[in-house]
Amino acid sequence: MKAIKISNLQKAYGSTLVLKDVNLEVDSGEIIGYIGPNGAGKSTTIKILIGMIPDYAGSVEVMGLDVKTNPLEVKRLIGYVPENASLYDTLSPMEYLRFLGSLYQLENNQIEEKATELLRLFALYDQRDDRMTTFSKGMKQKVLLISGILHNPKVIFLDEPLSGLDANAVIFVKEILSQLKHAGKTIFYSSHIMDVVEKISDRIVLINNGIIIANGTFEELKSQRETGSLEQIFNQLTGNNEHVQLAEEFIQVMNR
Amino acid sequence: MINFYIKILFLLHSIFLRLGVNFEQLVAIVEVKLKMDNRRARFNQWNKKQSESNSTFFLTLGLYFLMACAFSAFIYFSVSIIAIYSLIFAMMMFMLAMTLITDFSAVILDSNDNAVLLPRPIDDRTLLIARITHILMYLLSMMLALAIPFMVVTMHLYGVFAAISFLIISLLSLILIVFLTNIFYLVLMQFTSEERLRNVINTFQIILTFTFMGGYRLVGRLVNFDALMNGVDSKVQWWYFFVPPIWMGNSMNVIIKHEFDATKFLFLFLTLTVPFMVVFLVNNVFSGVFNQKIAGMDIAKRREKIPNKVAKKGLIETLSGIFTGTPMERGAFEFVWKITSRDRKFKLRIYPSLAYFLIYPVFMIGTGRGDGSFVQQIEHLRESTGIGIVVIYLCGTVLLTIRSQISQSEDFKAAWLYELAPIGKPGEILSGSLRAIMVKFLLPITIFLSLVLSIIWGVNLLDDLLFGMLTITNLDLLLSIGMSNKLPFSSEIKKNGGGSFIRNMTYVFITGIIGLVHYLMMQVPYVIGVFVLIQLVLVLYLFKKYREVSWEKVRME
Repeated sequence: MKAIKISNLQKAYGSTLVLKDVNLEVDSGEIIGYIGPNGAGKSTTIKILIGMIPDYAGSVEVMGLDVKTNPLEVKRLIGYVPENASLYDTLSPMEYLRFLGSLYQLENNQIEEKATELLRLFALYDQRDDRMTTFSKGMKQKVLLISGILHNPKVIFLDEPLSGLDANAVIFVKEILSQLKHAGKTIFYSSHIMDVVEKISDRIVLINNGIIIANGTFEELKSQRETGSLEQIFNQLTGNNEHVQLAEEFIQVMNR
Repeated sequence: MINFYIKILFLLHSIFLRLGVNFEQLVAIVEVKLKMDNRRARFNQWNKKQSESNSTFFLTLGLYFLMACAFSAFIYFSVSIIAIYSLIFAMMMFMLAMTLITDFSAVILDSNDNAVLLPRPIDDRTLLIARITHILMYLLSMMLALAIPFMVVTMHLYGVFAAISFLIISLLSLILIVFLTNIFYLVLMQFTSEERLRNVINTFQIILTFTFMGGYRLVGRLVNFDALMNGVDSKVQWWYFFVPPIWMGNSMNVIIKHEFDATKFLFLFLTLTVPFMVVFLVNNVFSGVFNQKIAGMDIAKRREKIPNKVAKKGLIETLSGIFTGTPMERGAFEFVWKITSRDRKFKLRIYPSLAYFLIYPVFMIGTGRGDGSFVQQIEHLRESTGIGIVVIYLCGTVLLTIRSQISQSEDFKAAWLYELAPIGKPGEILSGSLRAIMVKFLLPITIFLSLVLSIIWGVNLLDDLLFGMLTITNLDLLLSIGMSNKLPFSSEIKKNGGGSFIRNMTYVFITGIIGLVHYLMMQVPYVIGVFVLIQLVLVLYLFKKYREVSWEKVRME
């Protein structure tokens, strides 16, 4: 059974096809780096996979369950860490996690223990009862991270999870991701930070204009294109070679 | 619309220059702010509601206009010009001040500007005056809505010149109010830290709002209306010099009756000069400090820790344990309870109505024209149990008010977690939310009412109280199970919620009818008692059913 199986996925908003024909398979325990230019359809794909957008064409399965017919089961199995999402910040992290936990039908004492420990590991123990209105972006992001894995999901979706984190937290999270993988979790990771994606992903999937144009390990992609970093490969594949020229023009206009 | 406002700005070009502001920048800032406000209003249309914000603005204007029309009739009946005009100006200034404090403190104290405007080369004065001008534009429409009926009557009675003077003085009062409020905020900011400032303003808004709702009765007591109206121009008291509306009332007197004496002249002088003095003060002296304070608000917000009430933690959990059945329901109970305790804006939205409903029973007693002692009035009331019923149902509609507010929040974007989590039956959340509201708000009100009612009517009305509360609860449950719901704190805040206005009215209408039926039922002994039992069973059943509400009956925006 594949962790994720997408066949002929199509999604339109109004008359625009955001996702044209997406096909993808992911095995359990893989870390997938999902990259693409802005507007390519990354967030849409993820939201469909986690059951937040029930209206699409094609077949999408998570852990063998069809997302359209079994959304509740799917939601129980997945975790989602969005980027800079809004939180009910009049609550403290403990309270927020308690509420969220109750939505997953976890009992208060279960949540209490786990959440306290996780907050401690993220150096938020002292702030666990403070209202999040006073939290910095990075602190809120840590809470979001915890909220994404609190219920022990099998497949974890992350959208720019390192956003706002300081260097210590970044190293910590990278290590967590690697250990999650060893624990058999599947990780679907979307980001613009190419060097991170390069290093931690087992496989890289590049989406552009609603279809997947590259799908393989970093080595495979490199051998196809003969150039160095993922950033450059990305650049090549999404067809943009004029950056030097454009930058020059930019400065020229500014100086006028 | 916006272009009209901008044209006015251009007309006042020279005034702005005299104030020492950068006119081009000011126009740009005001124009953008007006545009943004406009879009915020229109965005609601996309959600298939009829342009609520826009229309409620005009509705409010219409309301003010009608109020002023009604009030203006008094001009005909009043012999004393000073009295009536002082009152009129007092009313206008009060309404404007209220609008200012409740709706616009967010605008004045807006720290959003910081990111965009502060790093640019805009001087403090320009920025502050731009903000104030923005507000003035809105208040101008309101002021006109209030002033025009009075102007018309004034013109009819006293001629065009008087009418125009009235308009001018009204404008002056507007300026006075806006700038005074600014100073007021500044003073507040000096004494409290930024975060607490918002709380202080909030509390102040609440007090003000609820004073307004109940206060007019008090005014009736304080001021001897009859004497005033009939031209007994009482001696000028020292405190008159501190009350702007009185200056203005006297100024109208000077203009209309041509009575020139030293005191009246002084009042006229005050009317014409104080507004400008205040503007000068704010502009030259305070603008720097003001902007600094607002700029500091963002950062200070972070450093402050708002101490968590650890003690309360135990209480809420105990309550949630008692009143809820499933984990999700319990989570929702605690969630709603906590946020309603803390969300400032939420508190501001509901506490005035709450206070109003609490005051109602008390005022009910004091309704008499001040004659007869306290005890006598209570005796009097004993006769009419009808009033008791009215009070019961009125207080019950508190539930309605809060219910409609619970679904709204500034943090509505955080509601994405409702879509993420595996929620099979959103009814559990709705039910937990309702239970929290009932235990937190309805229960204390009921207890309070039972005390009040027993003082007046003894134990007689207690079963009626129970019946009334249960009826309202059951009605609400029935409507919710049948119609669409919104999850707590999941939608954007709508000022004055136009669409649900109709729903509210229907609700009130139905409760009115039920109240009537109740009153009739009261005549037959034991009927109420029996029905209370039936309702109790019904309420338990309905709550269980409420948990089952599915996603079909839930609207997300």
